[in-house]
Amino acid sequence: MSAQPAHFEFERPDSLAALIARLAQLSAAGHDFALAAGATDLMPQIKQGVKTPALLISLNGLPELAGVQARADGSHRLGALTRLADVASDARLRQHYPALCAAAGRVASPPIRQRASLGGNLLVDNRCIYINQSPLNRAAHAACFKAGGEVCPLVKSAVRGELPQCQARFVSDTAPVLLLLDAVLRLVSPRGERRLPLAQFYRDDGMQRHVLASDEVLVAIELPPADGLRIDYDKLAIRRALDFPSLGIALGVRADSAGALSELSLAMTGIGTHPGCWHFAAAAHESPNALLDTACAAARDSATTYQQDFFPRDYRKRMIDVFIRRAAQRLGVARWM
Amino acid sequence: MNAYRIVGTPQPQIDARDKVTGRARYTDDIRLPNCLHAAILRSPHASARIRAIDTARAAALPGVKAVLTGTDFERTFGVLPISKDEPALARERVRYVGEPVAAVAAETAELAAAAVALIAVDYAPTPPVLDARQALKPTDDPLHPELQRENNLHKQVEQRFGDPEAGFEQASIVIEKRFTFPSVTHAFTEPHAVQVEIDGRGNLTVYSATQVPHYVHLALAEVLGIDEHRVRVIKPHLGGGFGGKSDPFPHEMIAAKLALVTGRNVRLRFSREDVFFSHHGRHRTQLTMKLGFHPARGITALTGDFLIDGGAYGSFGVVTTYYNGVLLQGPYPVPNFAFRCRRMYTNKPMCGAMRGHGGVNPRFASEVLMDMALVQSGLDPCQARIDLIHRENTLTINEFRITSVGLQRGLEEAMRRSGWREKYGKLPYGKGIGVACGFFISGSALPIHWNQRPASTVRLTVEFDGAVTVYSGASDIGQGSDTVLAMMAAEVLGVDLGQVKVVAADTRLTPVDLGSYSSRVTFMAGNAARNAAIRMRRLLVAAACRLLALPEPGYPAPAPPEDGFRQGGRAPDFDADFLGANPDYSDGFEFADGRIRHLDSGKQTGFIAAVHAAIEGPGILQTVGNYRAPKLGGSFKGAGAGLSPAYSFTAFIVEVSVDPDTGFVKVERATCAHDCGFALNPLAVRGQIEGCFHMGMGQALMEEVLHYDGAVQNAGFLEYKIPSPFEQPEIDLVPSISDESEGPFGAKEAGEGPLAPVIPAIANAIFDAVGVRLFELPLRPDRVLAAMHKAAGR
Ligand SMILES: Cc1cc2nc3c(=O)[nH]c(=O)nc-3n(C[C@H](O)[C@H](O)[C@H](O)COP(=O)(O)OP(=O)(O)OC[C@H]3O[C@@H](n4cnc5c(N)ncnc54)[C@H](O)[C@@H]3O)c2cc1C
Ligand code: SF4
Repeated sequence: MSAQPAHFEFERPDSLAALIARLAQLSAAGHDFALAAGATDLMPQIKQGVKTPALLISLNGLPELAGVQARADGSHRLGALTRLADVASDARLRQHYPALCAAAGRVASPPIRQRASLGGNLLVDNRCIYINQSPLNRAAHAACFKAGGEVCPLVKSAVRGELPQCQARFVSDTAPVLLLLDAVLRLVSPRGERRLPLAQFYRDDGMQRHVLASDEVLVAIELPPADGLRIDYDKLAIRRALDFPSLGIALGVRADSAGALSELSLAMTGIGTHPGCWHFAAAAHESPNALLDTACAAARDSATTYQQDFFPRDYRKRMIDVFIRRAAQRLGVARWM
Repeated sequence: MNAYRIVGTPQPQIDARDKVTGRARYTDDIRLPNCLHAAILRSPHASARIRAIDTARAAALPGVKAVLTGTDFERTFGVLPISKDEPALARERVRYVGEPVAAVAAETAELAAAAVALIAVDYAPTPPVLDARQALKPTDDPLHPELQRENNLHKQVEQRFGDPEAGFEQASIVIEKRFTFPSVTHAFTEPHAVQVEIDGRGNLTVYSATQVPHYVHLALAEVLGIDEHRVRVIKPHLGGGFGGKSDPFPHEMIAAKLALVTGRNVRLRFSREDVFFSHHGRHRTQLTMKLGFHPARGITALTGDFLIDGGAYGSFGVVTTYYNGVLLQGPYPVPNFAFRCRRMYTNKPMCGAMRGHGGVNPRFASEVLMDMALVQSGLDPCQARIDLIHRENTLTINEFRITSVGLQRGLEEAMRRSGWREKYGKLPYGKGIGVACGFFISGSALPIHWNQRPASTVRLTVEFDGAVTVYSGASDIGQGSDTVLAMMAAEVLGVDLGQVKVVAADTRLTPVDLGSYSSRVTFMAGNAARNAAIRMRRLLVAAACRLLALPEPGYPAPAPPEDGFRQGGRAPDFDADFLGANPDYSDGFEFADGRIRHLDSGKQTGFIAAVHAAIEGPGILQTVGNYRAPKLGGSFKGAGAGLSPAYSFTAFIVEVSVDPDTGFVKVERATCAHDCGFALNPLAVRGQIEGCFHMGMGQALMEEVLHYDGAVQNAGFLEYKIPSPFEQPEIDLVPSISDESEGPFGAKEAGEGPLAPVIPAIANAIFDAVGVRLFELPLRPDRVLAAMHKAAGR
């Protein structure tokens, strides 16, 4: 079973209205389609036969999804199609949300970032070494749940239908930073438009990963003013380029008007089915050190790691503390200690 | 100071511009008219009987022209005559996930793929053997029953020299450790591809991405059962091999057979995952090594027990089995030496030759043990190595003839330039510096198929327009062999490099060269090209003499170099066809700037005028040069393994930082002393050394082929981790450092030897940085961290 050439129809609507009309039609007909932005996540999966859409609808002709807009109040609207290379280098974003630019700049590799979109990055599929595989490798074993089968070789005790059914891991590099920034998603579907905080978007399952309907389009990501929130993002990966995060930690600190540490926030990617996100009030802790201990414990306790990545599971878990403490160091948490 | 005009100067490869501008034609770029597309059905089972194959639905698909299964091939094959155990398509049983089971030729690639999916194979899976230890166990059902063994042993080699037990007695330090190495793969850029053109008389022209056109030629004729003269193999531009393209392959047999059956041209290309299934990479190795050392005596004894996982078929495995042991005879004298190496068959893609063939994993073990012994003895690991390296013109205990050795001087210089004395043992915790040495053959002295023919022959012509053409069977696989052959011809004939054309690796047009493996091409094809050019020079000198009314100079008869040792102490093996290795060609004339000048009289004529004068009689100006390795080696069983007319020596000094919290190892910089004799093309030497470092660092820190139920689990470059450019450090290269009298212009190999010491140098630097030794590759952060925690008692 060499790789089969993929067959699909291709459409490229040139307005959001046209797309929504088409989506209404397609979902009524129960048609099997996929939306494609940069397609840097989608296309490899199609090539490997993991996804087999009959129709690919390109979002790249939609002006409504493009561009970054700064508003007078310091908030920003990022079109879902904004390329990661542009996110990483945009002067306004670098001024207001430097950690977002840094995280975008750590995704994949320079050529991939030229195509990969920010929206696509929030929607990047969860990964597992048993599913993101060559067709022959998958043919060599019984299909797992995510491949439509009846077993999970990773978590042998997993039961069909019981969530989380699948432990394919969440890998977006930008999601943790966007979570700490309180990003809000603008979603449009044939049923209209809705605004949804990113914090309510993801679900605890490697297959049914989020609450986006199949005929719903992510149009933009809205960011409130950063307001003194400083964030650090770093990822665990064996190489400086190309690799998905085996662990990614975004740590945020916010100071009150008197300059005292008021809040510590933390989001985690690369481990688990969805990004973990926590906020800790400084007032509840006797010292910044105690605050960090709480943060580490929260992240560590939430994390069940599996052997599904380059790094062994224990190591990834162990690195949670290390990454949090290093981020705290870079953010200068010590100066409050 | 370089005494030459062209050799010794850095030259971009002659096809570099074509490659970077996309003009170069690789195998898959060729467009043959009216060509069928082939596709292969691969086994999803690691081990199964094939009960039946139903090809009817595939064959019935309109546009499908032929369907093949194992029964369409009578003969199995293999690069080594002693292990021709591989079928073009599996028969009766499959032995690994990815093994070719059936093949289709159809009008389009899509049709071929669709047809392959319609082939129904009835498999009866059998329990697979997935590990070399498991393969040692007795079984009624070995992978290769024809060997009539009770287990899955493919090849066992045992050699013993001196008295190792007595040697250990003489040692002040004896260290024994177990080491584990995963399999790693070549990861060349261009996936395998083949195209077959068939003419009206049934002759096949096979374009293939291969390192060994000559062996592919022979294997095709044998497997297809056709006369050898009906086959022609051409290697177009090639995007990297590293040993992964040095076997005849099933896909070559399949495409050729499809062309024969259909009478049509056929093309076949691999996806990246196909390449991983085909593999032929470095053997997964478990080994135990024991080193006896004494500060005053050096190494007193070395023994090793190697268990290597060969995968499903033989490939180069018999050679690998020997090389695991015999390449330990350098870079230091080992007076008492014994090893056993067992290569096992398992139900996984086969392993074979990979850059540094067979010597890389044992080198890691020996250089780590060496480092441990030197540290324990309180010796400086760098200085002590310099003191121990083989002296020039010595014979090892297994009768390797060591000629030139430049590593003492090279390593001294590297030591100075790296600041070793200021750094070793003195850097802060987390920073370290380490050293390791290596040793490699510069061309296998013996051919794979035993015969009396030269190891390499080159034909050279000069045309009326002054174009010099080198015809060589050598395969430029990206290493730059075409360039180096052109440089040598240009040097001898005093013409511009651009005036020299190279026609290479075409088994109809070019004389035989055995191929690009065992680091043999520069040495062997190089000597042949140089000799052909010298003979041409003599024709032109004769013509110039006629034009200038000068007497022809007399030439010395081919004679062995004065030092009898240089010919292995035996009778010289020169004959009328062989000018010898690296003969002096001074003749009293200077060839330069388009002129031929008689040095004594100052009389001169144009190069073209001499060409025209010389061409008048024969109508064509053509010479032949060849290379024969000297008779070498002992008379014991297996004495031929590792024999080479010369050996390269390498040392790497590497600096690392180890993150104490994460265990991440970052290579900060490296200094390399590589004794490649005279660097014919310093730019290409640098390229090879940087490439070796990159590859060695990958194996050291991250690369590993993973399997799940025998299926390759990381069959792509996202999950098979090759270091990115960010990980590659600056490499300071100490200039070339010996004169190999039998190498062309004094040259030895530079393509493989530098790889092996990279890995132990990194490991030894980690020890200097954080005080831990690791005995299993890759040296992943989690392993480094665990070792640090263990050392700290955590
Ligand atoms: C070699 C390699 C390395 C990579 N490394 C990383 C990495 O380090 N970190 C990382 O985070 N990612 C990585 N990726 C994954 C991917 O490149 C990025 O996540 C990228 O940002 C995805 O964006 P895209 O526009 O290409 O998404 P696409 O592939 O176009 O889409 C991804 C998914 O989102 C859906 N989608 C996209 N846009 C919309 C929209 N506007 N509305 C509704 N649905 C939409 C698509 O249907 C699809 O299901 C890597 C990919 C490769 C091939
Ligand atoms: S975790 Fe999900 S993707 Fe991985 S094997 Fe289990 S079901 Fe498949």
